[in-house]
Amino acid sequence: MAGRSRYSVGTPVLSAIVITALALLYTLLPDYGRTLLARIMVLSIYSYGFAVSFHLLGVMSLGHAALFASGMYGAGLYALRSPVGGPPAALAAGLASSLIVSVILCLVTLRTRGPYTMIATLLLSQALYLLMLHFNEVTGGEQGIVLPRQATVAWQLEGVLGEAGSRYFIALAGLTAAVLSVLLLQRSRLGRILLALRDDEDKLESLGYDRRLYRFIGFSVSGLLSGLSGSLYALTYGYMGAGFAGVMYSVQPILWVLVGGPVIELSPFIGCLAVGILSDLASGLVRGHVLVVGLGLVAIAFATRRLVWMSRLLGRLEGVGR
Amino acid sequence: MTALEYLPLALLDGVVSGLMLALVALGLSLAFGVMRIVNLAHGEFYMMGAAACLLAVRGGLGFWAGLLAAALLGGALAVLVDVSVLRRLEYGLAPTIIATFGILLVLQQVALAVIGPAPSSVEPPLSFLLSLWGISYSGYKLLVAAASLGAALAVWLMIRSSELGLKMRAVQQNRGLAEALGIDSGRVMTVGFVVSGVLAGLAGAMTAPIRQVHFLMGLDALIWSFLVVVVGGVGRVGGTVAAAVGIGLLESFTALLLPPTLSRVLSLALVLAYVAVRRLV
Repeated sequence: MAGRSRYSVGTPVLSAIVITALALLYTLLPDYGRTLLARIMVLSIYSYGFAVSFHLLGVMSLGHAALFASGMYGAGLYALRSPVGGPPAALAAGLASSLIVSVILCLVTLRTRGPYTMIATLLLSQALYLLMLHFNEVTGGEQGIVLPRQATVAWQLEGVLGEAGSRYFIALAGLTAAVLSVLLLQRSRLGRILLALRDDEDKLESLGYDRRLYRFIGFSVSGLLSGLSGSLYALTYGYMGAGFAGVMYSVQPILWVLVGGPVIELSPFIGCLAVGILSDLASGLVRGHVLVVGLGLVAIAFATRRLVWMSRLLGRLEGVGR
Repeated sequence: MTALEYLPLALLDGVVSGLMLALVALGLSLAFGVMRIVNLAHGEFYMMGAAACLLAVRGGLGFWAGLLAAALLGGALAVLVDVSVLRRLEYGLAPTIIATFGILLVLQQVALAVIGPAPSSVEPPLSFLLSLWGISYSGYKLLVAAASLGAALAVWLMIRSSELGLKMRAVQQNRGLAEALGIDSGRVMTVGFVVSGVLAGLAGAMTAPIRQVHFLMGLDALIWSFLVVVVGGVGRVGGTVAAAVGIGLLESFTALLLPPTLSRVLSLALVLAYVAVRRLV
């Protein structure tokens, strides 16, 4: 089952080419394109976080927005309230809060299988969303909070690159970090243990590995990447809102990772890019974005019957085997 | 009034709102519990039922016509979703979840286009107050609670004693064998799913005069339905009703002490703890 792409040198080279192309593309794109691509790059880090749980852990979570939003609020609220440490400290706060939520997510799904995993993750993210709505003096509720410009990374680097430029390159740096971590994880011992855990946890356990420990580690990696995305979103766009914990943000990564293709190092970005551009084109309609995601999900569900890699991927989801 | 004086009211309100929740969850209990279809669009069938009722009342047709329209719409949506999507996906778990999530978003947008973004209220068809133990209580709410009990009984009897119920259980347990015995499994799934859709539509219309009609109301209904179906024991209609009443009581009592959102979060947290500890397969 070792797909050739996983261990071949092709993927790292291809990833390097994509990252370089994105850096060069900055000079060619008009302002609008730069802004759109920067946003897509930030969100695609979240897509990598989801892909780690989807591809490597075999868990289809319907509650990853909780990880994204906790990173966003961790970083944003720190930047808003504490003058100590500046953006790096805020980033650390964001990562720490999504790590905590990912541990809770792992605990909740430790003993569930199949549909119950999906229901439990949906319930957890909804609980967090309701909490964010309830404490709207702190979180700003659905309307959200705009950070003062001085608290954002974009402002700190503005002198060098300009606002749009600093957003773009911070997003690119985050994306590079996400691609690198998935590349390294795939080629590490840990990554292979995670795959073994996904494919046959009983066998792995009989070889002396602690099932729970590796599940925790896998969820933490997924949570850290999602939190990195949320933190960077808050710190570059200077905005956070409870809407990011909502169900829309939990379901979009499913579409991204399936649209993007089978290669975990690149497909989360490619899918996010494709859906992002399509949504942007459709946003002329009334909230056309939501319709694109909705119809896209139905279409991709049909595609899973046709494309072998997709049905294999879904077949590996725990408790879903066909 | 002190909190103690609210107790009888909290008790009654808990039972009634629990039964209202049970009415929404019944269809899901049938689709997920008996047929193992994870239909994430169930809440949207409920929302569309409420919207149909709202439109009928606005159009001057009256509430009862709205109730009928809601049942028909719920059933029609179920046929459409089943025949054009779910059957072609062969009810595979992951594809079904992905597709019904998409349908959820599409139906929300359809409702937004038709009824607009603002919440609207529907006048109850009967408005009278009943006095029970010295408390005045809305007669319409009691009527809905009674209807919910009646619907639960009907579904329970259908699963347990009718030929359709028997076939549904047979198809779920061993599809190949059921087909070998001459059961048209596709048809059984469709009929069962349509009953589930009709129940969701009816629930939407009946609760429309109590809660406001809003295009985003479906998700909440979906989450609470799943919650009571899982807690009540999958495939057990009586368990679903009991769990719904339990959750209704829990919420109405915690609401005496906590703000409503926090009491909902508390119920969610309790259920999550339950799911985390118990092995559910």
